[in-house]
Amino acid sequence: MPTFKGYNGVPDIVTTDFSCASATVSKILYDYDPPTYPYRSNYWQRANAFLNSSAGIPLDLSIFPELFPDGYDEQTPLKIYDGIYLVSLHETARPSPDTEPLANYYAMEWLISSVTYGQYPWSGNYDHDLDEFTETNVTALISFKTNWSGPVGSVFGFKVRPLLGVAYFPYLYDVYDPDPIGIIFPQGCYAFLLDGMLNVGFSSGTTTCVVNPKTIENDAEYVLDALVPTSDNPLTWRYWTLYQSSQRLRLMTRPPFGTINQDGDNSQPDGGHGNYGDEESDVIPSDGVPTISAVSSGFIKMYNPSLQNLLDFRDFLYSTSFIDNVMKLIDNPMDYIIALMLNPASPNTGTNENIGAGGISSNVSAPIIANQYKEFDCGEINIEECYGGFLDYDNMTRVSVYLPFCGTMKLDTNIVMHSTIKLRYAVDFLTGDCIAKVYVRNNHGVMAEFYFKEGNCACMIPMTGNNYASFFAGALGAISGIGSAIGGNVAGGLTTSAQSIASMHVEHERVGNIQKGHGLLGNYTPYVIIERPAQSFPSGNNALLGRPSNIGGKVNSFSGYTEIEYIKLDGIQATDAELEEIKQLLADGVYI
Amino acid sequence: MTKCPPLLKRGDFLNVTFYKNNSDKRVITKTLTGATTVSGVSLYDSTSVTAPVLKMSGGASKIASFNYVYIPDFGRYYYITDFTVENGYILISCKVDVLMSYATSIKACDCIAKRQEQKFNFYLNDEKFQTYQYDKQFIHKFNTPFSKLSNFILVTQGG
Repeated sequence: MPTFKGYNGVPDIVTTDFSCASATVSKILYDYDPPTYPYRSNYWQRANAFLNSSAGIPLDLSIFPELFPDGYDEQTPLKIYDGIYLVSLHETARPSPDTEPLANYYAMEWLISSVTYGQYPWSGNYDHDLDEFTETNVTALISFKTNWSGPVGSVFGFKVRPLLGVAYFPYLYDVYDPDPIGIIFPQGCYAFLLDGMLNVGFSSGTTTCVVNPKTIENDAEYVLDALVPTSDNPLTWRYWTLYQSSQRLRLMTRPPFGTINQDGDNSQPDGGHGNYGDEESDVIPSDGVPTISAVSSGFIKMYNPSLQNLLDFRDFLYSTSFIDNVMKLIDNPMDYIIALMLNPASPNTGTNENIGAGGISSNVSAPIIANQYKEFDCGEINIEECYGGFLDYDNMTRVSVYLPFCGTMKLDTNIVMHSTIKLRYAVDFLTGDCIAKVYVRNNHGVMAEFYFKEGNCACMIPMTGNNYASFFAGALGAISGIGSAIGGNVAGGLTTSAQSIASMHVEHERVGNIQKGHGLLGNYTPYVIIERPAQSFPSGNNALLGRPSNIGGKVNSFSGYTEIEYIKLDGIQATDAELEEIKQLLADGVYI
Repeated sequence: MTKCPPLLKRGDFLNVTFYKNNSDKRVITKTLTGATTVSGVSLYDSTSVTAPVLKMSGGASKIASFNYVYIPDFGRYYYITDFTVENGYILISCKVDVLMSYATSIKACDCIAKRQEQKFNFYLNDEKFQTYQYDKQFIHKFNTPFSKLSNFILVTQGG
């Protein structure tokens, strides 16, 4: 069964569940006892005045004589009912009670709604669709009520709004408002009303009553509308709308009636809904270096020879046996040497193999380099605060890092301060290119790569007058080209094919520059440079100048030198000029 | 609400208390010594509650050492800004000390301190802070440098 609940914080809320066969109706009622709420009498007065002066309709004070033998007066307690929410009808032959609400509805004043009834069950005698009530009808209706003798056999006829569940006279006095706010009934009548609505229900049969039943879902929560009057001006009342399946009432931005601000929506408090930093950072892992490299293709081999290895290989290259074999295939045997370089980084090596070139295996054994790439961990450094304040951060302290083979890079002090920076290099031994990666681990333990800088750590060694840059690129391109020329089979193509590769264009020009080897001339040790300000802090600074505070509290919660930026001068019986002087003196600085 | 002093007319006599104020003007609650109450002090001509001029007879030496006064009828404390002598009377020019006069009420007010001697946050930027033109440089090296012993890398084709 669905449940209904009132809204929080409002006293005297009574929530009552009335259940019947297929409907549940709850109400929120707000007690308006005259001693407590001074506006009560005003309601009655206004109602009477309005009725009497505007509509000429006297308020019937003989309603429920058994309950109010003296009729209504200003002291009669009223209850405002909202959200009488009829969800369905069911047959019954039980009589409906009689209720007689205050009949005063004016959109710009205050609203009441009424429930009318007809003596006949949904007969055509009375059109119970209240939307169609006009002034004449209302007059007649009230008159009818006045003359009504008894509720036997009567049923309620009213229109129930889906949200508010309130019956109303929307066209009363030619003022239409489709969103009434409540039903005001004399105390004690509600039970009769609900009893009649629910336990009595409606009579079936031919009916012209426009009742919009609404199914309430089981296990759903509904919060009904409520009204919190804070003055006798209904335009200042706070109106809450129904949120179905919501546990909260939503405060309407304006009364359901009244003028709409033509200049736009009324501004409402908002903002401040952020998480205030209550979020977790993602850990960005280090991806390392690729595992598949050019070496994996098999087209090239990389060796890490010692100096003696190289000397021996050189001798081999110029030996008659190599030249005899290679010269059959290519003009220059040195074309098989892609690159020779110096690199301060140490590659990962595998087993020793005889150095081969052009399909010819030499008798010189050197460690093979299995992977073109390797990552180096240079360690980490904690960047600590020196002053424990703003002097440690941007604009005051500067942090930069020297990266061998790459250069110097400035770091954002606000990011790296009070953090750990970790340095890693990824080196490509085929080209000599390297990337220095700077990771920052903050004081929450989250590490991520914040900076990187590329460079080159190799020094190319010229072996011939060839331009190794274009040769290298050309060699790679020639390999693929050869493969396609012999039907895609490039494995061993160079060793068995008798085809000349003289088509591999080799620029015979002097290559001796080590333009990519500049980094080798620098320092090999990476380091962090921190430039900190030298503070000039005189004695007595705090007592004479204070320090930035932005802390709130009573004035007497501070002691010593204090400059007060904002203050609320309550309870000071001084002249205006004195108050201004107080504010100025406090802003300029006082001693508490 | 402005506190209205009692209605005083020219020539009415007041009892005032003279003090020696040893505190800086910016101190809210002054340290006052040498309290000396003098009766028979009148107001000189037209005067304001915030800058009254007191008139008293007698030698200036009696009060020349005082620099502060409290006038109960006004409910305020005053700095003595000047002494003058006119027709055998001493005229004492005063200016209200709003901090001392309303010290209790001021201290009970809610505020936000911009600068404070004790309750401060050093992480807030301080435009009044002074630093020297020179910086102090610190260098921290990473503990695993590259080796100066370079490696030969030989790349061959068809090996």
